[in-house]
Amino acid sequence: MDEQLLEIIHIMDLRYRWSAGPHLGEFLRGLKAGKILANRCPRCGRHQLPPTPVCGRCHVAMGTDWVELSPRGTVISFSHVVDPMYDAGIGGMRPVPYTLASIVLDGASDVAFFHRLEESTAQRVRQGMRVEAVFRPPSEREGTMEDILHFRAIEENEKRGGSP
Amino acid sequence: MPRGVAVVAVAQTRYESSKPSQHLQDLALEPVQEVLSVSGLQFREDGKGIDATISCSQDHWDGWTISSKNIIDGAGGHLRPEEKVAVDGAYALYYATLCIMGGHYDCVLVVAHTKESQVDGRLVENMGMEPLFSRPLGMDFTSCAALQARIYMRRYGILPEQCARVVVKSRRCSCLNPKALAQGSVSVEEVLASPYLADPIHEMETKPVADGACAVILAEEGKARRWTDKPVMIEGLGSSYDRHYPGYRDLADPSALREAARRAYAMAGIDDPPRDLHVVELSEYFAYQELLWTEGLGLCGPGEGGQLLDSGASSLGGEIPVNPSGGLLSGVPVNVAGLNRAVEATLQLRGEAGARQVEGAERALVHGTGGACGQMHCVLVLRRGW
Amino acid sequence: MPERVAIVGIGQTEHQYMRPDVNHEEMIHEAVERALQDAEMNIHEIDTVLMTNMDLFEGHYLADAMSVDGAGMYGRPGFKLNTGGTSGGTAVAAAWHHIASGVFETVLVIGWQKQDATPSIAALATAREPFYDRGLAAGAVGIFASMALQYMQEAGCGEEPAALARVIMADHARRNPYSHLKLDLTVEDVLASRVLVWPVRLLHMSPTSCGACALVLSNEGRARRSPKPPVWIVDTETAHREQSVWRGGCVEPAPGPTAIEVAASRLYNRNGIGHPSREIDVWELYTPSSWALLPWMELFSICEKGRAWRLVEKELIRLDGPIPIEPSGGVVSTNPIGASGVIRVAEAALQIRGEGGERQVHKEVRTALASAWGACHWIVIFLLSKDRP
Repeated sequence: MDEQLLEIIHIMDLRYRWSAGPHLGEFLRGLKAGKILANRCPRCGRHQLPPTPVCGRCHVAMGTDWVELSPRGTVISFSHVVDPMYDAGIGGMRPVPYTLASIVLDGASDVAFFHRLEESTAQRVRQGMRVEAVFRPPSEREGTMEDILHFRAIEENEKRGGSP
Repeated sequence: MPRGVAVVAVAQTRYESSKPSQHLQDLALEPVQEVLSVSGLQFREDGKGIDATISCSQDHWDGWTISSKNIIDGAGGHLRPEEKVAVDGAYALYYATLCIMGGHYDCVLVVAHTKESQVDGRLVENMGMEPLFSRPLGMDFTSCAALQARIYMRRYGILPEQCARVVVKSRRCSCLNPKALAQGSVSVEEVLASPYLADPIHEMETKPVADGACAVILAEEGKARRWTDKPVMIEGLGSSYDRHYPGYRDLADPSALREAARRAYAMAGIDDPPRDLHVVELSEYFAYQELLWTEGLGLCGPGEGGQLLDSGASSLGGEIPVNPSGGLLSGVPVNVAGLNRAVEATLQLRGEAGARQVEGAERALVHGTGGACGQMHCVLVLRRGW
Repeated sequence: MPERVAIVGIGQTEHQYMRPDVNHEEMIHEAVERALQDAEMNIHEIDTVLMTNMDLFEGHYLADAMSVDGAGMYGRPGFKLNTGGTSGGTAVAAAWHHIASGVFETVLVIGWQKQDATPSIAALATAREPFYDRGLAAGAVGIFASMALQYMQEAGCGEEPAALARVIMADHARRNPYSHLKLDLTVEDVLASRVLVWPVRLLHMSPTSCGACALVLSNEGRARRSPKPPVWIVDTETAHREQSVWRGGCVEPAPGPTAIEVAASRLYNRNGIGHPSREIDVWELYTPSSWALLPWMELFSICEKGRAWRLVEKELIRLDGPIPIEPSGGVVSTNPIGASGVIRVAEAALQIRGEGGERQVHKEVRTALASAWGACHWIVIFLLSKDRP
């Protein structure tokens, strides 16, 4: 038997046009304006990040209680990702390595925010490290998660006035 | 004695050609919130509310592996059971009914959602064909349907005008249905003048691309009677698969549909369907399918689908109205289609169908289908329970 | 009174990395034939067929429709379910409801996955919200990495226990003729394997496998005529979790109860199980990473919080030990995703029948617990028993 005829390669190219909806849409508009926005459950008061139309625990519809979160926060977990991962957004493999972090933004201790860490920050990252979002210049923002370039380490003395 | 199962509440979105302002979760949440609100029920653990959720959607349409994941919060899945049926929505209702009959749950929320507008559906359906044998030939559900239509029309002398009149009838009804993707009345000439998608199927004889969602709350009979004055009983159910490759099948004989209907009728004690049923909501993805499915459901004999239509019996006001909602040709998304039939049937039995109401309807048939040329069918019989 | 539900037929393929010799339908057919032979039934005695797989992974839309002949679905009622990693569990639960309803006497339930068809990591990438974290996430491995980090911190253990757990599962898998991976490992081997997302290494994770598993379930009346003693599915419980990947995955700052804890406690309470590790004789948990085993032993109340790694260290989870876990070798040895949940139930049932062969646990088995896990930390659990409920 001709072994070559037992397998045939097909390339399926399905392209999806997603709708962000009003809640995630508001969040993405916020990113474009350089802000991280969350909404809050009217019953349990949890921050919803990303903003959702409904609280998964209380099952109540979200109101219009929008909060701008601080771009600063604390790393609670991180990982240096070395195994290449498919990126459905570009239809190809994502370059490695990169460092993924779970960050609790100041003032919203009930939810963690995921993003990448800047390279030199990644080299010395530890749990508890203070970091800050670095947005792309306004002209380069498109209303996607990539509007945040990465998070970078900050020193406590960099704190702006007013913070506790 | 098996447990009785009844529909407590139904809701549906408006069907539109696209809903760019809604995320998939927003879409599914809309009818869920409505059924919760009209029934006054909530997701609860103490047996005084909804025990579980059964959803219906498809990964390929959503572009999301585990497509129920994106609606889980809205569907009340947190720390609770949710199970996703990955075929037509009528099967989700069928399965929910069995779950309640089995006694493990008393009350189940069924929800179906799909946004056909977000992806090229013909490509999705091409992936529903055998990969090495059929896909390379450009076979999809539309081109296969065209082959089926031609065999059926030739064997029984079904005329293109009769298929076009199905569209005329559906559009007339969809004008009476505020939820329908509004398309206005059309004439036979206009239908036949619309371009072919795949000869002999014209564009207007095809279910239009649609976005939408619907939700149903089902409960064990005793609870249902406490929760609503108008419980709609699920009296019978059945489903059946035909073979996959259309070349194996007699495409003019919907044998899987006959088998699904036989099971549902036996359970509901129906021996003369046109006499015992008062309204039929079936899933016709193409105009000719309404004629063929009426034969498979035993509303008329083989080859008599055209005559049934011509006689006016299947029109609103006739003896056995078929798709007074406007049917799938009025624009209902895949997956949602079968559950939407149940929503419409429930409204009919409750006398809440407005301008499309079938007077005195007490017993309704709900039909869902999937696969090329109607490879699998699901039939439920619903009856006024008060 | 719902009908009691019994497993009367069990069949699975020899699971492998690639199956170029068969298409998906032929592969399904192998498992179906074995299950029917085991039950001494022919397909005409099957009332309905339920199927599960993860659709996007093979690139088949309506994969059930495409498998009708091999699955024995022709002319029969049935449908397909898909809930991700839990799929196999969901399908068995659906079969359970079908029998309980009294409408069907026999159900054939099939789980399968043929992962040589597409790069499944690409399909898995679509498990994330496309606007929010699809561009950032590190797949399932990331989830287990955070789970592992959290466990090490809270329990105060190092990397060795998860590595030892993996060695034990490999030892079990070598005794299972159906297992995909039959590795001969040491703790050093595991710790020397490539880091995927620290502390998760290649050998901690499940492989991508091709395979199918089928079960025949029946009501009590039909089970009495079964050639082999029926294994009863006493009860089942399903619980999901809100989209926790959205909320920071396993490292939520203020985590609520997990679906496993909630589902297990409901199942135990309904069935009067006060001491799970003593009352349940064998465990087929769905651990896609050996790192998951440690926290899950605690969430399933097999032991107290923070203790699991010590039980593993003492090797009590081996098949000759007092708390045998994954005698089949588990999901880390074999993972045809849609089949994996069905396999857990099948393997637990084989243990109750005493048909585990070389992988049969040494103590007497009267009860077993099988689970399926996936998606947003979703779980389906089954309590199986030799004794009629």
